[in-house]
Amino acid sequence: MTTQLICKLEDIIPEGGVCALIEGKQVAIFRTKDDQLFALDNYDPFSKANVLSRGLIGGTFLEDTAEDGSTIKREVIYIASPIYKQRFDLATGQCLDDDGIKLNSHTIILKDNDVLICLKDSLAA
Amino acid sequence: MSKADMSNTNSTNKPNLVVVGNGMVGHHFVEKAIELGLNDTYDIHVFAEEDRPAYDRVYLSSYFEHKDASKLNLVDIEHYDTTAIKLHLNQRIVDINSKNHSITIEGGESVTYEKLVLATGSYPFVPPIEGRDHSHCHVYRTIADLEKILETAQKSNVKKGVVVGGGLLGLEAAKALVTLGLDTYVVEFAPQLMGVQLDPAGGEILKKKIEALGVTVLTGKNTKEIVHNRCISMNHDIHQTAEQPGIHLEKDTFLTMKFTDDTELDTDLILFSAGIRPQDGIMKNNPECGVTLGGRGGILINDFCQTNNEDIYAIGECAVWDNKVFGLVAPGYTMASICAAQIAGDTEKTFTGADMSTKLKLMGVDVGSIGDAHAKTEGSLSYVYQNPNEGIYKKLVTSSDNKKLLGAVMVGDTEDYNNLLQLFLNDIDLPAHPESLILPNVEKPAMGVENLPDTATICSCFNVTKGAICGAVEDGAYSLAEVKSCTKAGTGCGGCAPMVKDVLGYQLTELGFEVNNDLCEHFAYSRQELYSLVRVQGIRTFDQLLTEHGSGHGCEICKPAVASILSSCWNDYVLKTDLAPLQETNDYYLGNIQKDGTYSVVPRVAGGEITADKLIVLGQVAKDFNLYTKITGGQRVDLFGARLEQLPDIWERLVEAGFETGHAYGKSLRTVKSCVGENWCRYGVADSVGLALTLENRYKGVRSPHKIKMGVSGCTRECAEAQSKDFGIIATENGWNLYVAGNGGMVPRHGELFATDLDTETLIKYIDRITMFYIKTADKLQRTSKWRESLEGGLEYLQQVIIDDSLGIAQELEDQMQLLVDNYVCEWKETITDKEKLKRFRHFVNSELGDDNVVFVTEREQIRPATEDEKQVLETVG
Ligand code: SRM
Ligand SMILES: Cc1cc2nc3c(=O)[nH]c(=O)nc-3n(C[C@H](O)[C@H](O)[C@H](O)COP(=O)(O)OP(=O)(O)OC[C@H]3O[C@@H](n4cnc5c(N)ncnc54)[C@H](O)[C@@H]3O)c2cc1C
Ligand code: SF4
Ligand code: FES
Repeated sequence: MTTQLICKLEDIIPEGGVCALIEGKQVAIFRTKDDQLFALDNYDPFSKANVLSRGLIGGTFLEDTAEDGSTIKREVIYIASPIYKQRFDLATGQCLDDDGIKLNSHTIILKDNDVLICLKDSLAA
Repeated sequence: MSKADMSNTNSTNKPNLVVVGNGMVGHHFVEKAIELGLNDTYDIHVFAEEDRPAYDRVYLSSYFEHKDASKLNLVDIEHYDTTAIKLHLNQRIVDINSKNHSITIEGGESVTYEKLVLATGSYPFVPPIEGRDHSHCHVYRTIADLEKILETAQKSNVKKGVVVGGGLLGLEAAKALVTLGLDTYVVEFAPQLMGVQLDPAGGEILKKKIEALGVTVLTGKNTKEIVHNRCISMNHDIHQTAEQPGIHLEKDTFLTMKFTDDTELDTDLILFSAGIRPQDGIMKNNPECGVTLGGRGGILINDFCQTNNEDIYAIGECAVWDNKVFGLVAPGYTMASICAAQIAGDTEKTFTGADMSTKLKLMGVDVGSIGDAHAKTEGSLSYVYQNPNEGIYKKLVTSSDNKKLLGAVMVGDTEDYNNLLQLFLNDIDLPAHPESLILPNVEKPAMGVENLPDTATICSCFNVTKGAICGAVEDGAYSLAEVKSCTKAGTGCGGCAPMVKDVLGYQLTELGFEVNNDLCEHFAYSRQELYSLVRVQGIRTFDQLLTEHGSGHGCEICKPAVASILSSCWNDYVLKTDLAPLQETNDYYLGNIQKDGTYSVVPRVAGGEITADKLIVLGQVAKDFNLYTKITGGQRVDLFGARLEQLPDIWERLVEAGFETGHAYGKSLRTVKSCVGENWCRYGVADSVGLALTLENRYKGVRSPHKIKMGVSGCTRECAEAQSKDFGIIATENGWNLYVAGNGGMVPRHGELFATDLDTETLIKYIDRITMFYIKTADKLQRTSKWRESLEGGLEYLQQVIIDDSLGIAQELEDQMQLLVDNYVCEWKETITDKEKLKRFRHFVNSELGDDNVVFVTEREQIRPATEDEKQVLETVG
């Protein structure tokens, strides 16, 4: 697995985002207040602009139905686009306002104070 | 599908269901057929004479405003495709052979059917007047017709237009001609307008109102001939007209209409709107086809929408039921549903006629007609209210025992229409004095939705009852949008939307919902309550507020709202580390984000007063950074197209030249608009610019629930439009008059006079107090106008709190405002001196490059964002 150094943790303010240029592609990287890191495509398919890193982070509880029919509540942390406010699950890239839209998500590693991204084939290609 | 593909029409083993006509009703039939799964049993073929799929004819006239035919489209082609509906455009059916079960397409090919649905609509009737074949004579039915009208009307020498026919459609067409800038006439054969829907007195009031709008109405005129003139003012057209027969006159109009009373009317364009006729040409031209027509034309159908031939149906405006043709879309839709159900084997549903009541706004005049408008029912009683001064006419027609409503006419005021229609449709008993239903200033007997039976039709376009809407709400459709999408109510002509909303509200209360004022799922408090918590407990961060009074993570709704509350209370620099991530991108980057991700730059130009030197700086900066410049509606200059990474450099230049941020991004004071005032203006009685500067500099940067705008006019002529602002100040001989809670925007509201003849000191005191009181008590994103309307006790209450200090908080409000004023900093000045803060103004955290998806093209000598199509082209070229 190849990784690439993006920045230092303190370059991203808690509950904020930055955009990184990775092999010619724009990736938005987010840091939550409890220092979890997430990465999604920076391109917002609704406004067709590279702006997601400048959105607001939020959380909401969604209900999932388990196989036995019981419901489980789970908190989804998302980014809301700064242009028309559609929300995307930070962990999966799934758009919460349109089932048909899902962004690529990428794996981020925090090593000491370095923020690293794992290069997938899709990104490397 | 092209003609060559026609071999496919009999390709599967399924029998064919053929629909002739893809108009509004034909399309509705297809939708119903899909809903009932008929596309599984049949191959559905739709033949359309027009070159485009079904569109909304009801809104046809809007084409003249947007000129975009796609806005009228009704057909989701993908849906047709995925459900295997085969739509054959541009293919007219010319013959039916009911013995062989086949139809013939123009050109000769034939297609067999098992079931045939005729939905051919109707065509405009053009009276057989000599000369009606001129290229400037038009009809009003299809998009193609409108394109032709537009072409004629846009010729520079076409100035006058006449509509022949003063019915519903004729008046709509007249409006279109007015919109196109023509001097417009309506010529009606009958002695009154809208003879079908209105009685003579109603028609007379309507005529007066329409004439007041500059349209000349000629009633009782019968056209006998249209003369094609040799037109002297239009050289290039002489040629064309000269070759046609019947040219007599040399005139400066194209046409002259001659009437049977020997009068004449010159015009350049004629629009025939003299009624419609059912489109039954296929049968008329082929009497052997086996389908029976009505005595006056039209395809005869029974209650199942079937013709005399059990496999052939007719629906919509081409059909005649019980001697009647229905020229409205709602009855056609009903027929379409019944016909689809019949073919699917459900024979329960039958057509039982339709209500032809109408309400519309004709050229800005409200007109309504219900049931028996002409009081033709034997023994019926009529009640009339007439107000010639305001041009209002209302009539009620009741049964002889005064118990039931049989009909109504309304001109100039249709406020009572929905109530009356429900009384009529549901056969509800009338109150003791039926006239109270139409008299002004009389307490109207309540006819709220709660009194309607569940069977009451709320949306007649889609035949949706109150019960159906309530059911949808019970099943979880809690918003108007959801109700519309699952019941379709309100998505046709739109006339029923207010009722739909009432039913929704009614049912929500029935279900025990309370209007929920929680900020969002993270805070079970209103904005006002949170404000008090923050202020009283001295809370300074979002996290503290969330931990102590909220739950969960926070979101894009509560974060900016709390940030605004924190700023309103303490006026800390908005980009302090713990406040920064709460801000919307606009506040975070101190600029307004644009559609392409660039930002705008709006320096403050207080009161709109600016020196030549500063103007030059603005121009120079715009030039150096290649920004689009525009004078805004707020008396200042907006520079657009700044990339994130350019913002600090741009602002460094501006701050150096003495500019400050204009807070165009903030929920805070925007501008104080001023007129030039007494220094220059011969009427001015005070220095309006001076006061505007004082106010703008005092309140700049103060964060509030929504933006605040002010205006100061130097005299009562009001050139600063101050009464449309949150705070409007107008100079008088004796001081300042203060208006509050005006609003432009989506729901305009005039400001209300709050206090008169104030000196400047008192004026500022009052504005301090009102603003702070607004900040404390308003809901999130509530402008002062909405806030003022929500205040119980109204303006008087506000005056008591502010002027009489009835709550004893006046001093506190002033002190809190003073704190905000004292803590003001220009956010951009602060930012450009802070190396740490500047770091965020980069597009990439790991590269100095910019966003390559931001691309501009030049238009009118300035940049604008490239469209997606333009970007593609630029890419291929580059
Ligand atoms: C630039 C300007 C239009 C122009 O070219 O003239 C403008 C542009 C915007 N207006 Fe406006 N409004 C502008 C004058 C107005 C006016 C006229 C006025 O102020 O005299 C009005 C009506 C008056 C009023 O507010 O009562 C106006 C009523 C709105 C509204 C509706 C507010 C309402 O209460 O209904 C919005 C939407 C909102 O705020 O939620 C809005 C929102 C916007 C936004 C911020 C939309 C957005 O979120 O992107 C626009 C972006 C500005 C930018 O990128 O710089 N703008 N807008 C004007 C800037 C004035 C200024 O110098 O600050
Ligand atoms: C300007 C205007 C405003 C209106 N406003 C209102 C309103 O406010 N409220 C209201 O209820 N109604 C209104 N109407 C009336 C409404 O548009 C009609 O009632 C409705 O369109 C009827 O639908 P239909 O499918 O029966 O006919 P149409 O919509 O006319 O469709 C018939 C289609 O069949 C096609 N066709 C005909 N013959 C053949 C053939 N032989 N082969 C193949 N195709 C054929 C035609 O080209 C046409 O496309 C308005 C109409 C107009 C013109
Ligand atoms: S009117 Fe609409 S489009 Fe024009 S500036 Fe205001 S918000 Fe933008
Ligand atoms: S009545 Fe026309 S949309 Fe409901």
